[in-house]
Amino acid sequence: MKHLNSKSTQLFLGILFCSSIPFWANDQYQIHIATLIGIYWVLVSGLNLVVGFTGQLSIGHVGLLSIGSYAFAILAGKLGFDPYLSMLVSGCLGGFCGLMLGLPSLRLPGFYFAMATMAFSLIVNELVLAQGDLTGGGIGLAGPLFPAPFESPIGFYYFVLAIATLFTWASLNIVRSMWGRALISIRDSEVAAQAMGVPIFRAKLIVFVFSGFAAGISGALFASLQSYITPDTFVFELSLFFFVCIIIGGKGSILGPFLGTVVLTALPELAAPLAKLGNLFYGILLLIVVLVIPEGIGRLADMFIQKIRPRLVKTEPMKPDLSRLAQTLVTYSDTKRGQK
Amino acid sequence: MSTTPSSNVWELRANEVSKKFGGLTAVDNVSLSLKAGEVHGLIGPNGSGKTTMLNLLCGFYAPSSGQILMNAQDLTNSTIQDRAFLGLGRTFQKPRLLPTLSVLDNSMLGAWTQTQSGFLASAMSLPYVNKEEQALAELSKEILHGVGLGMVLNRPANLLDHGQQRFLEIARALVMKPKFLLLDEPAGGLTGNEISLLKDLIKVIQASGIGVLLVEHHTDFVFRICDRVTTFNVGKMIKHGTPSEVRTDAEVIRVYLGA
Amino acid sequence: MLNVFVAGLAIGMVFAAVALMYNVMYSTSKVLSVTTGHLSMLGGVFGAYAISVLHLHWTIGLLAAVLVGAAFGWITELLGVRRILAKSDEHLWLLSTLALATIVQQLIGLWWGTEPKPFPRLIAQDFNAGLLDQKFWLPIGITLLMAVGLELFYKRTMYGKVFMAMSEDPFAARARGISTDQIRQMSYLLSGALGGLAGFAAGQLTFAYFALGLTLTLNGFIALAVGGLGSNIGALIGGIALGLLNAFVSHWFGGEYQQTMAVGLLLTVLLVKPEGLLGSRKLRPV
Repeated sequence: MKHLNSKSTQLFLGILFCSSIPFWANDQYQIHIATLIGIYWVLVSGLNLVVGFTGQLSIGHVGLLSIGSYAFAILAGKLGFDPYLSMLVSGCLGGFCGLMLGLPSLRLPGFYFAMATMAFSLIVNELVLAQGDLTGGGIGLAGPLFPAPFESPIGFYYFVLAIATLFTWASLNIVRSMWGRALISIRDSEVAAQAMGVPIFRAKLIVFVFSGFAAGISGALFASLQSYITPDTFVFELSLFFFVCIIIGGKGSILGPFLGTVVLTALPELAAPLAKLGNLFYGILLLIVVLVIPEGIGRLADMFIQKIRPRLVKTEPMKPDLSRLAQTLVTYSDTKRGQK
Repeated sequence: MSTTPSSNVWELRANEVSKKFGGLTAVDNVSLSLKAGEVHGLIGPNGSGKTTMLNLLCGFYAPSSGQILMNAQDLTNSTIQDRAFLGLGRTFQKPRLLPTLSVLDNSMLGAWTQTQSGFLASAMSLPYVNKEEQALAELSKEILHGVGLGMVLNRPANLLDHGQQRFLEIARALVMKPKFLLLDEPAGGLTGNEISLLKDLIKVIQASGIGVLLVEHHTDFVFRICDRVTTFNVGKMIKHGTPSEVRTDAEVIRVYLGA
Repeated sequence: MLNVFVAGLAIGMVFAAVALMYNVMYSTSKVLSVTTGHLSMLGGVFGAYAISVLHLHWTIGLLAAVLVGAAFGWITELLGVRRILAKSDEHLWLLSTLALATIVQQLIGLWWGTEPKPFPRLIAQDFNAGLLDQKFWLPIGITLLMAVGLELFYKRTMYGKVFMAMSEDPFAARARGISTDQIRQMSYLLSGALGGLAGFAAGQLTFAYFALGLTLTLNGFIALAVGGLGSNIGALIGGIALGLLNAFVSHWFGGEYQQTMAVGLLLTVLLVKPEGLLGSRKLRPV
């Protein structure tokens, strides 16, 4: 984990850059895309903790996005409640559904878990279509705007930027903490995690619920941006899209999946013919990354840098400082033990 | 042997423990104990049940019969994680480290049982979380310098050589502030010099009051540093005693040490 | 009522066929491939293409279906499994087979279209044949044949025994000189061929539809998990249970809750017996 200051500086510069976008963007459409990237990133930042750091292959988060979107559209749109409150409720509902999904499925082995999450996203769509009175069925619902100053495209962009920044900051904090190490231990060596006292199921569940909350918030913002949502929007392929953003960005990274989200969202928009072939493209991209650079494109950059400036790894012999060790160990008997 | 006040009374024991896997009896009615501040070695041929015994003590297997106790507390049904919180640390036959993280981060994982920081508190980077993180980092650095890894604190663990990886695992277990340290073939693959360093480390660990259990094949190493030695064969304990008693025992020689 | 039962049995048998395919591939590679359902989808699509579009005889259509299925099975092993198994990360095959499944689904969607197209009659029969309609009996018959065939294959033929040896203990198998790579390839080819056959037989029931792959992958997996991984009889039981549940729930409550009910069944069984009805418990590794 890098030194505290450099990551915070990077984040600050990144936010500065993102804040400047509305000033040099060419048209409304580009602002729309930038906002969409921000909204997707809110979800992906949460999902990244689940997939990239804890190693749980969840391919059903579009279901949680859908729940967040519909909850917002119903509460703020149909029922006219305060949009900010509705957004929070959408987030909490996303978190709650994450809990309901995670409880039975997180104990299952990898493929079983992935299938369970996929089935979840299909079930959500099924229920949305079935409960037509509530959700408008196949016709869909309108997604209301937020009140001023966020009702304009630029205003809404800054609102989304603020929320995306919050989630990025939260992710960075988790990753740099004991929780970050615990999650990575679950991903890379469950046996070591257990031996160190990490509560595997509980940790997976907590992260999963957090990702559900992020997805719920993202859903609310999504409904508002798109101004109209239908079940067709929330197809399984969108889950695949989020997933690919993380995989190509590389596990164990926050910047990687962020760049992945930016590139994959912007690409179909910039290259029009790609739009129809979007899903095919994601499939091919996923296959290439998995076969050639499974650590993600972030790792590719590392390998490149290694070629240019190879870091010499010196094997120095170990020289234990026994008195220092003895001194540290002696202080053990007095300190308290935490309970998790 | 130890001079630390409160650890004299700690004892980890196995009472008539057996472990069956289907038709195979891996451990057959074994009783042994590990006292605070002592070094206890488990030796025996491959497949004799030594590693299974270690796994039973740590909670990776549940015994088919018998009990595992720490002092008066029955651990038999406790999870691996519970035992970590109670002060059982261990290393593995093949080092299980987190390859993408630095040496420092790997060792800090051992501090999990001491963290009070919740998930949300960590997400919000609350002041007490940061303070705790700093304190645990300081502790880990001290231990890392102590075992001799102070010059590679920021190196990713997958770039360490084998000996360094083994020592990192020991450091990680020490960060846990364990009462007992269970080492699974810690000398495996180490150079002669490294084995000598390991011996010094174990002596210091023992002196601080931690009870050390070793499963090992390097019998010279075992006889030199252990206070007590238990020999396994085909799941049973065939001899238990001081190193000199065990190394001269006829059956141990026949079964394991050779003529 | 009997209508519902037969319809449920038929679709259940399609799911069972996919579960059987999972077993065949799993036995030699310990991999559960996301492409399993897609192998059947290809059988249905190419069968329909050969007969309805190219106006070939149904036997040629059947051959086409089997060959395309086998080919995609081979591709799955080549791209999705072989190189992945060499690497240490065990979840990579989930991603690679997911990628392959997506690719094939999108390609078929672009070529064949995204609407489900009817599959032609194979034997002359009135469309009002009711319970005796071949669209029910073809999948039921073929799946039963597949199950019996696999049983004979494993017990009576040399290759079948080699498959079983590999699934029990791949290291020992290799030590005895068995080329585990080749056997694995064969098993994927076999599974693909069976998939093509099953998809072809089920075509009149499921229609030739590009998105069928994912549905079959999921439902076939549910049948597998309910019946127990590794058990062919379990695959049949799981498939039938799922198919009947599907049909009766649709009949009583409308078809809107099919997926929900299916997963409900899966979760119920997994909570009570995590290894499935006829599955075996595995030891924990340390």
